Amino acid sequence: MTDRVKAPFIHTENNDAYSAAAHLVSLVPAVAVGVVFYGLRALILIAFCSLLFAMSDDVCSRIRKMSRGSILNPLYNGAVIALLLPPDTPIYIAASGVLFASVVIRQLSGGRGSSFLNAACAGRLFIRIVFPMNEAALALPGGDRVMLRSLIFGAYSPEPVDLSQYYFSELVAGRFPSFIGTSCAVILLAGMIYLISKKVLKPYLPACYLGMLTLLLLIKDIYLGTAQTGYFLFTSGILFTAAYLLFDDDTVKSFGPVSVIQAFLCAALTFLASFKMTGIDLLVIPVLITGILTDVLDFSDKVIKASAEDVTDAES
Amino acid sequence: MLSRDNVVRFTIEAILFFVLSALAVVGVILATNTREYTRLQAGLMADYADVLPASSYTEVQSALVEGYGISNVYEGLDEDGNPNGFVVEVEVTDHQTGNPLNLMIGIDYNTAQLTGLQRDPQDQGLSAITDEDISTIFNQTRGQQIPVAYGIQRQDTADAAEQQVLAGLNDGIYYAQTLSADRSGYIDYVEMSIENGMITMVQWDAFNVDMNIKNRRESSLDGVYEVAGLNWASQSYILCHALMDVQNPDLLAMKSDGTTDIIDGVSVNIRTFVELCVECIENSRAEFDKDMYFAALREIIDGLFEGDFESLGVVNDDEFIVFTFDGYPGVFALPDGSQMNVRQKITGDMSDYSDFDSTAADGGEQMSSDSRGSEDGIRTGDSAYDADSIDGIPMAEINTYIDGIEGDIMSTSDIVSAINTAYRFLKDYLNWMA
Amino acid sequence: MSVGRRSSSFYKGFNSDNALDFSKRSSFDRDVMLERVYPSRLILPMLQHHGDECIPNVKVGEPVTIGQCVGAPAPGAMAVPVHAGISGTVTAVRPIVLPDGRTSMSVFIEGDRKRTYHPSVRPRNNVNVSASTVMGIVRDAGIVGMGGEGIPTIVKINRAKRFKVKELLVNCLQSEPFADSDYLIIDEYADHVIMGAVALAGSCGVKVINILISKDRKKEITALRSAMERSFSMYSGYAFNLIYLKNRFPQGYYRMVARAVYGVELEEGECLENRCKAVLFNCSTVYTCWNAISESMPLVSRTISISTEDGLLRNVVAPIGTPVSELLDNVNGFKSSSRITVWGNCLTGLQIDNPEMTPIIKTTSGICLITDVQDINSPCIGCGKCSDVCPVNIEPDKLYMLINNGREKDAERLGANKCINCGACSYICPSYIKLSSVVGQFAATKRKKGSFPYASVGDCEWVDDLSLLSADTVSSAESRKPVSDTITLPFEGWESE
Repeated sequence: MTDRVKAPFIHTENNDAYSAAAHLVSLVPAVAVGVVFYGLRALILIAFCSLLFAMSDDVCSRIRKMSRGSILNPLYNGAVIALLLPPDTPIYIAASGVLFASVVIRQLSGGRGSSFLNAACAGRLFIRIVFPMNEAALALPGGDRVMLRSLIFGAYSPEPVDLSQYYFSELVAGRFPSFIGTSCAVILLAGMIYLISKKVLKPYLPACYLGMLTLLLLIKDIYLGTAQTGYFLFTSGILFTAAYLLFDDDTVKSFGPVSVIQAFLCAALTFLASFKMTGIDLLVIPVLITGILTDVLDFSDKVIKASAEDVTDAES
Repeated sequence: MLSRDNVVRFTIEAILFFVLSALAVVGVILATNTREYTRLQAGLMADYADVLPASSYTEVQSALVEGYGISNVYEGLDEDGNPNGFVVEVEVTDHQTGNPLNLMIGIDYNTAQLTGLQRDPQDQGLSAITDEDISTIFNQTRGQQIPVAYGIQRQDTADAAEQQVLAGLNDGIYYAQTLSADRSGYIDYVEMSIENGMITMVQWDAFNVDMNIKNRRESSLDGVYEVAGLNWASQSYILCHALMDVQNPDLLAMKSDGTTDIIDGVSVNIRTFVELCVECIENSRAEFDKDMYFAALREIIDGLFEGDFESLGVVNDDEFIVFTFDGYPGVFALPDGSQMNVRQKITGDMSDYSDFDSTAADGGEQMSSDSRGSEDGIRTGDSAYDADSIDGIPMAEINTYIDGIEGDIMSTSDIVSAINTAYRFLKDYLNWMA
Repeated sequence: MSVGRRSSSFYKGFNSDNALDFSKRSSFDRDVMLERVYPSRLILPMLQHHGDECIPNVKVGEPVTIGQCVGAPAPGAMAVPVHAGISGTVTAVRPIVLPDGRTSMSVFIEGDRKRTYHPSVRPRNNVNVSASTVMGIVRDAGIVGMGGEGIPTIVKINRAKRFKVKELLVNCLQSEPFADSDYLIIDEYADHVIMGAVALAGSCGVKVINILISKDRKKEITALRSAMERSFSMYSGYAFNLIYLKNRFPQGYYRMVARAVYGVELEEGECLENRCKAVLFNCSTVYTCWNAISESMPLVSRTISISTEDGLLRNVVAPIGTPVSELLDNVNGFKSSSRITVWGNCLTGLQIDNPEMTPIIKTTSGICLITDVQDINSPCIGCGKCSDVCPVNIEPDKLYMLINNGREKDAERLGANKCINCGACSYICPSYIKLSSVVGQFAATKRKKGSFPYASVGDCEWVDDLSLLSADTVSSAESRKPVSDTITLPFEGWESE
């Protein structure tokens, strides 16, 4: 009996590779938008970041002799970092963020599944901190789609972003200066629906996150007499957060009650951050804090429960 | 790991997703194009309405734009879609500070009249030229046809020295060029027209021993040939008009160092100019006109090379003889160590021998040697440069003369240069001269 | 867990006690309709249920017939008799080791291919029998819970009577992947299921019969509705309800049923009978009961799902005791020797190495053939899916790590002992980690030490609360005393005593 295979004898096809593949496919619309809007340089950045993340992950796993899971997952994480970059980001800046995410955040914290920080978010925040000037390089959608000099020299002609001049339909369509893959709300929703249809994302999680955030923003609007909620939802890129950053399988729970708490927590943090932050900070910092807080709260919950049971045992 | 079925399924879904997404994005782009157009027009309207009133604006996509230092050109359309003018965004260099100045210039389509002149919103305000300066120029040019030229301090130079008409001048076109090249390889020449015994036109320019390099005036307009203060072409223009005003090179008050203080905007060494002008005047008195000069020079060189002039290939596209006698110092030497000029050499007439030190142009010493190859966009050998001109525009084309900003010839020159740059572009773009 | 929706369309107002009108007779057309396996030999373990082992009452060389008792329960033991499913000769009586690790004396029968029935196996002339008669028939037919728990049905009836339950639940919620033998029974014998349910309800003293079924099972729902409509006039004293539940595994587990139907979380030591006043029977058990009542046929065969992981599925009726190898040899498409043979279903079954010596028993609802057990060598990514699907609300990923790190007390604090080893967590795990093996084994170890009021069968399957079963052992023994309304004793085991 010792050599026997233990039950269960079948497994869900919705495994790690399946989930990563579904996530990758769900990014395809955002990639398409990036390529249509920003051309060849966007495609090169996405491919480069994905491959670099995968290679780095593979090398680190081999060195540490640890299982790394599906190769598709690092491909996905690399693509997410790229989609969060300004279109005119030089290759070397993108590479630094990817390597930081892969080597420092993921591997030094124990490898796949052991990190409490979302690797993609951390990598992107690294770029934001180390290369702050890169954030100003938000090119207009359209323009020269075969221009590649920005991959070496950075922004060629960064335009000042004044979203107030854009019509709402343009904001929904993503036709405003933004990161490569975060602008088009319609497309992000399509990706989110795809993930839900593939059963790798529970529909109630983005609903909780977006619903809570919308509610808070509406309250703020009513209190201040403004009408910024819709504008915020469609221009800040939080749809990208809801679909791809917050419930990444790796660092936070993607299923169950804890994930719902995470969604609410991240929504509240995003709301608070919206008073002080814009751009990439608004997208990644609440997610990173949520990851940390979730682990802390989870740990505290267990400690409290264990303590309570100890008391009960002692009394009995 | 993925099962084979899932790999196939995901691949198909990814392809479909990409195609559908791309179609959706294109659809969204088409759907929002109207919005973008409206937004764009609103933005353009806000920027350009005061410069060129129009119902809508369309960007002019032309390869010519880049060749003129022009940022953007928009065509203004009326309600029926007919063109009613152009808005040209020009960047010129403020020669007082060396910083760029961006101006928006509105020009009426039918009349070529200036409809507006404003600082471009993109201008960073680094130049010393103020809105008031721009407004002053605009007030003088509003509704006037371009191109524009400005008064060359006629009163100032007249005040400095009363106009003296030199005696004994014979009508005609006279010419003189230096016999040696300056450090940048330029051979200066002066061409002078005399009508009714008066100097009516003077042009000072230089061609290079390297025939691939544009002449000095064009190079300076391109920004390749740089001198302190106004560009060399402008200074040449001012200087030539100053001579026309005073009619005597002696009255240009050249100092011992070759500069002059009495002509605003002229900071270059004018010694070569004065020497060549004197030679032209003497040639006039001796009725040794331009054709005779070229024939004489050809003959001298031919003699030097034993009748092999044609094979030397020293005649450039503009028919100038590009030859320097640096390697043949004895050809024009006199026994006392001084030099003859071409006419003196060919005629042996030394009656007008003067004390002018006709050595190589000193002005070249102050000039940058940063000359490079020619750029596209400006025609070489254009007839416009063959005659007296401003900003590369023949004086014959100048439609409006203005006084400019009082006491600030440099700012005037910069702004007028911007206006004339717009003119030059539109002339090329619309093929006005055809 | 999903909440069922009660159907009131079959609620009846008439109340009749001890007046079961079993007028509808069954027929033998099932022989034609179902694919049957006729093995050449049988291996009949004396321990096929949850309880005490029977004692073989045949000797080597003795001829046996179909329906003949070959194993009799010892007096006072919680046991039910074992009957032969083929006619032939006893070739050996010796112990074998079952896949679940239990050792059981077994009767080996070599078939004579004559299919000779025991004289007691004959259609009952009058199926209008009393409640106590039903109890006697159920007991002597050797019927046990066929959904997997293996508790003698008579024990459950007695327990239901003691707790004065109000409702009888028919479990038609088979939900383990590739297993649908119960649905075949419903499709083919919906009338028998209804009549068996009425018989058991009468014996338990309840008037409300709730049939629990997945709402996705349209065909079976239609069959049951039709059967209930046909039975309407016959059993007017009983109220029938169809309760639709979501189709998810392990919906049929009694704790899940309590949660879904009654909104009750059963604590340790509680059962449906005492907390919800309901008794739960599997539909195959109910069908078998009716078969025993109407045909005097003891539990000698059952429907088995034979499946592969790539979707090939066949339901057959096979005599209990059929060696797995014979079963597979007799069904087309299942002879691949390169596959792993699973005794049971794919989530909760056990791998067997010797199919020639491994019989199907009363609780075996399926045999699975697995080509390859996938392993992707991926670390836990902490996604939380295991916690999301766990029917007993524990966190298998954390427990897995705690147990592997030797922190057993911490694991117990976090509820590791609640694990029912359903395999849902391992199935859903995207990294294919064998969570249920580790946590379930840990829980089994703790239970075997007597720390918890559970009983175990082998190391993988858990059944009802042991405390209740033990208590019922007494009443089970008491029920063996002849009473006035106990009628004919069709089964030899009973007669021989």
